[in-house]
Amino acid sequence: MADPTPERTILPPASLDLVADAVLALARELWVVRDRQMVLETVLAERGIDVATMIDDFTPNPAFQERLDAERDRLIEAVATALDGVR
Amino acid sequence: MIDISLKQRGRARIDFEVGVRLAARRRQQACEGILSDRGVTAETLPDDMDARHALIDATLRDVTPWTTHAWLSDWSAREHARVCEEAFDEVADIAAPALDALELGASTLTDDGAARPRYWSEVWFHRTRGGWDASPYNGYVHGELVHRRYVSRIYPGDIYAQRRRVLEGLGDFIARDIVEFGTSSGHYTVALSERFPDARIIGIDPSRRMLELARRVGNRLGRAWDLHVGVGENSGLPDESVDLVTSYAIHHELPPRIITRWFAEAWRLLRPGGMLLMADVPRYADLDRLAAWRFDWAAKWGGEPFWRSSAQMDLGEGARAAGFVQVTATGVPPTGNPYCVVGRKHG
Repeated sequence: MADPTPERTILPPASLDLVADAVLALARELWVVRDRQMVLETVLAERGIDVATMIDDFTPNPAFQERLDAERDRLIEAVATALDGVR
Repeated sequence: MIDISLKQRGRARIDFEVGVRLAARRRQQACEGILSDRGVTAETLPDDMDARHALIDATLRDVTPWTTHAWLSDWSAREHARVCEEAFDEVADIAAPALDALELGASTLTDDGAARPRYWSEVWFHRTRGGWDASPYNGYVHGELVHRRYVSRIYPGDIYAQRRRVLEGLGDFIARDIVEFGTSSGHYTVALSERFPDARIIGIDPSRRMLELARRVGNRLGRAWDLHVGVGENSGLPDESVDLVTSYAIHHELPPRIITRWFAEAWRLLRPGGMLLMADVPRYADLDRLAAWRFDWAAKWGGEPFWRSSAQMDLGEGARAAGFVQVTATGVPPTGNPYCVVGRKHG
């Protein structure tokens, strides 16, 4: 049993710099979120709220899911646009 | 639907895969505009599909969003099932007992342990690592998490309503006994049960894990589905024992020689006056060359080794060759997807 998809190399060597840009763009976005999460958890813990567990068990309602989807698309576009090489 | 709450990490990772796929689609649409600007259109593309791929790749060679599109598509093809598996693992301690509890009920599953056909056992369809039966709860992972949280958010329209809609092709036909080839996790079986609430439904599929989920779905709905691990081309059921033989979105995962055998087996199983209804992806012959290439590109890189050969088959002719009459073969409006073949066995 195996994956039937043909082998290929998608990104040409010339894309390496663009890939590095994309990775850094992603890391920057990730750091903003991680910083915010640590601040939030600390602020709430100082007030006796275990928000980490609450987040784990949280299910978005449709309106919040729409906000999440929009923010997710913005993040992915930031990475993909860097890879596109569009300045 | 058997809904189980995921942890934030699993939910967000699945959402991310949806976003990656949508970003790829936006680039595909933009690149098709560039193709048009450069004179490559449905009218100018070559007839041969491999030549079509080659021309489009050559035309877009200097277009980096086209490369990004391929990269994003490949990522989501490889990763979507993995993140769903891992999302399930995060809640398995709660989810597994809940699913196990649904194994008891009126729906039954029979597996005589027969060897699976090579066209199925040797392929990781949809680039699913390890194949459909790779893990104990793969039925839930693919039937619910992949299908409802990923596929249904990527493809246009209500993919569950489409299953109900194709049954409108049967008009007011009444079936007492139904066999479904390629039951998988039971999404279409639900539509069959709604349309024929009093019928006996037999479901056949080579994947035990998918049928385990179908059994849970049937039990949750209070249905008595008779599910068998097996294949449509050799069902093992008696001659002239059912009124309807049907399937949904399975032909593209079969080699053409097996599709031909499916029609013959359907004919054998049907009582005189019985009906055939098989729905699958659009026929390439009904699409313009650009639209057909679009499907073929997704199939080529999405773990669908039989899509092209099956989509090039004339399913209406296949049904007629097996003996069916009053055969209609057409796409369901407005998109032409799915494509339905309906026929009747002489009464």
